[in-house]
Amino acid sequence: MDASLGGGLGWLMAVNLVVWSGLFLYLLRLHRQVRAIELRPAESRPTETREIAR
Amino acid sequence: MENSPAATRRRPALPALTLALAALLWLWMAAAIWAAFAWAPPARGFQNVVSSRILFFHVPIAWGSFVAFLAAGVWSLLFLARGRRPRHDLAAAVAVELGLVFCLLATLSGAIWSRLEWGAFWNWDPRQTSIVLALVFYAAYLALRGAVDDAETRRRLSAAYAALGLVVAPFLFFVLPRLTFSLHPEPVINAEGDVAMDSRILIVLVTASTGFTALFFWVHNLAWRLRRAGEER
Repeated sequence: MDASLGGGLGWLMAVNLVVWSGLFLYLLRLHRQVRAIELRPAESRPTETREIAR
Repeated sequence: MENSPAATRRRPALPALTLALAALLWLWMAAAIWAAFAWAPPARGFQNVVSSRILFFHVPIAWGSFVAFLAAGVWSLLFLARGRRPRHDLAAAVAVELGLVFCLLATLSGAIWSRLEWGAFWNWDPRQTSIVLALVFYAAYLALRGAVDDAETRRRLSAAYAALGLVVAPFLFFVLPRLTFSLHPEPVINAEGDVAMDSRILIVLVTASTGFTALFFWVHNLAWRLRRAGEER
């Protein structure tokens, strides 16, 4: 390993991993929500979905 | 019970393949983050070798914006050539929006690094200038979409504009920055036509760029499906 994790680099790596994991979990949750919306009849889809579509 | 409103509102589980691909992407990006901080050697030739690690995110994010703009051009060509289907137009619009987010993040991360390495957030370096032009070009795409009321006309005009981007984006990202002297290093494509970069740095850059490209297509797919679900009503 050439790079030393001293001098705050280790903390930076940890912060990056936490941010990426948070974004990843949010996207997984969003993926499930999108799938649930697609399975509903068009008339019963939430209003905000229709507003986003505009 | 299965047909009750509560049952239909319950969120369905994601397919196994989707979960597997998502897990692979998490691992891929986590490996890129680890490698960027712990595996890649310090970059040579920089005043601040520690802050140079921001390039492992700055360059892949800029690459992600380029992929997004190219994808928007391809979807626009598909719209024009294949029956003018609204879903292709929508895919292009979502790609431009995401491309602008990536482009903005690349600009901000580049400005932070510029401050640390060159002493100023902005130097009007050719590559900084070209990324601003890219931002303006694609922001104009969104302005164009917002200015035309008739849906069919809006789709046709914006598709032609984004298809033009297939020429403009490569010019702004790869040609214009190389026309004059730039503060940016040219380690991949330079006058010698050689890759003047440590192999581990190159591997991290390629890994992170691949990860950001996959992330773009995932987020694009979600945004596109969400909008289509709303439009189908």
